[in-house]
Amino acid sequence: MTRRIPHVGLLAGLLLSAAVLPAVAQEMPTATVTAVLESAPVDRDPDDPAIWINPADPAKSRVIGTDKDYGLVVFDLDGNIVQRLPDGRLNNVDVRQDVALDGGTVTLVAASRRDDNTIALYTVDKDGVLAHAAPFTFPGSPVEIRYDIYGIGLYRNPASGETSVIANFKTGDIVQWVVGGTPEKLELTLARQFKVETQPEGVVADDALGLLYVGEEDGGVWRYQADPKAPADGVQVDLVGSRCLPADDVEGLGIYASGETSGYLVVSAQGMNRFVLYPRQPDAEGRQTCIGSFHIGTGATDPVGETDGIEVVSSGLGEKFPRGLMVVQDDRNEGFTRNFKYVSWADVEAALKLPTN
Amino acid sequence: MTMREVDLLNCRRLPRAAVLAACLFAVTPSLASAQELTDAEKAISNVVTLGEAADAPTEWLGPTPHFVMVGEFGDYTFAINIKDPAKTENFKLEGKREYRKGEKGLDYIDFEIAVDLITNGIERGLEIEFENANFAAHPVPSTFALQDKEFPAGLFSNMELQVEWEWVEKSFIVNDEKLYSDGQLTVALEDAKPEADGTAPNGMIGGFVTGTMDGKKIAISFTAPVTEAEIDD
Repeated sequence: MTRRIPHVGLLAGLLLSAAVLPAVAQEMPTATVTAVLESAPVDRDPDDPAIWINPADPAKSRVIGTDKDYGLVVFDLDGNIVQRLPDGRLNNVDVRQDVALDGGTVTLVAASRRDDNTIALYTVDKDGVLAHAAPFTFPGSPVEIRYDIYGIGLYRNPASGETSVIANFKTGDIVQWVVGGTPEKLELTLARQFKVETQPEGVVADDALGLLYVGEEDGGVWRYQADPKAPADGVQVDLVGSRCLPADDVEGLGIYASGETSGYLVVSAQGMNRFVLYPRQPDAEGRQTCIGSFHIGTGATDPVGETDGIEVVSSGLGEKFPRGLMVVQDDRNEGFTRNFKYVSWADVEAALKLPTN
Repeated sequence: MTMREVDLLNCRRLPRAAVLAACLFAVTPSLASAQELTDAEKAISNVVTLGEAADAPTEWLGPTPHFVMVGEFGDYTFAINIKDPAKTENFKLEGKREYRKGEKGLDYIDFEIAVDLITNGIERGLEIEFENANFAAHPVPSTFALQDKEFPAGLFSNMELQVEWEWVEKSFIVNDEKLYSDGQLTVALEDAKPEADGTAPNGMIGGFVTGTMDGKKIAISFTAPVTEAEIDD
């Protein structure tokens, strides 16, 4: 179930805002940020990144990117390729550390595999090296959905360590599976299935707040309770056509958690070549009103166009990324190549004058 | 992004009641301010000329690989005249076929002509994509009227034209795509050898298309080597 903002009410509200507070509509902070560095080009077609944080040495963390006609490509924080996994048409990817299982914990990477509409799972060792989990793939849905598996995300309950995989399909179907079993033999148990009206892709869980966000490419951004046992009542955070998301597609989503409840939901707005920020914590009425946006311009790298998948973490990852790292796919790069750009979150904070406490 | 891009990419897809409000906000100055060019710079970015000057084609220019595109699209003007793609520097021309499983095997639902080129020091990408319920159901040559519905049956096709480039020094990004509903496509050449899975990532596609949008006309003649095929699940 999803709850759309009534269009007539929306219209009236927006018109009222435009009439009474025209400055508000024009003052959404918009900034230009430059990337610190860029990854090596990806051979085919990169889409979505995830970030594995090395707890022993954050500067040796890894960026895991999909090359959606090839598999996964793993980069270090200088953008060098350190591992290639030719595992098929992997579209999106996510990672969670300290996933509780019978007999221990693992770091888990999940990717949506379009070859056979499966969820591909990997484990990550202490040095950031990925290996196929056992089993490697699971059906993405309990009953075959013919139109491609697409986005994927992981949610880890911080209290229990229980983790679930959320996969979505081009049909709009969203399927959440709880991860169980042992580190040697994983199991996925169907938890719930729901739907958005049109094609989704981006999905991200705010673990600490227990919220799950889904991006409907032509529709907007939806918020759900992340608990796999919770009813799937969706609340529309924003819709394509609003002042914050004037153009489709909604693509990747990320959570920058600066405190228990503070920080941002970051939305990749492809048609604007821009990233839009919303507060993590909904207000008393459940609203999350956008607070600014930025695009990545020319600096140490070329600009970022046709933005797609993103990931962002707030942990300091060495001198280059002292207040966190945002990684974004870049669809157009020198020599007609594609890659990932690495952005220091400190630069985003400075450009948008965000509080840093 | 231009205001026209915001309008055409987005506003027509909105629920009717939200269109006005959304578009009112879409014209806030902040949206375009990051990508403003002077008129002289616009001439560099928005005029795409490659090859000898030529009039707009009026018919398909034959089975030898070529790409000729003359006319206007949105804010952009094209005068591309490439008669020998393989020997042209800074130019790449490829075709792609796309299929979908139908009741009697694969339906040939889509083909795409992709061009990479460099002009005025800017790397640019163009994609021209056509859809039909099954192009294979029609003899070659056949002429299709353009309309903006997905996978139209009969002698209809849609055409999506996408242009993308970034002017790195100016941090200026162009990313514009539109569906044409006024014009004609003639598929004049389909040279294909199906492989075991029924797809044909080989041979050539040739044709001629004219389109009009907002009073601006574009004419394209192409014969492109096909290098890729895909089954849309």
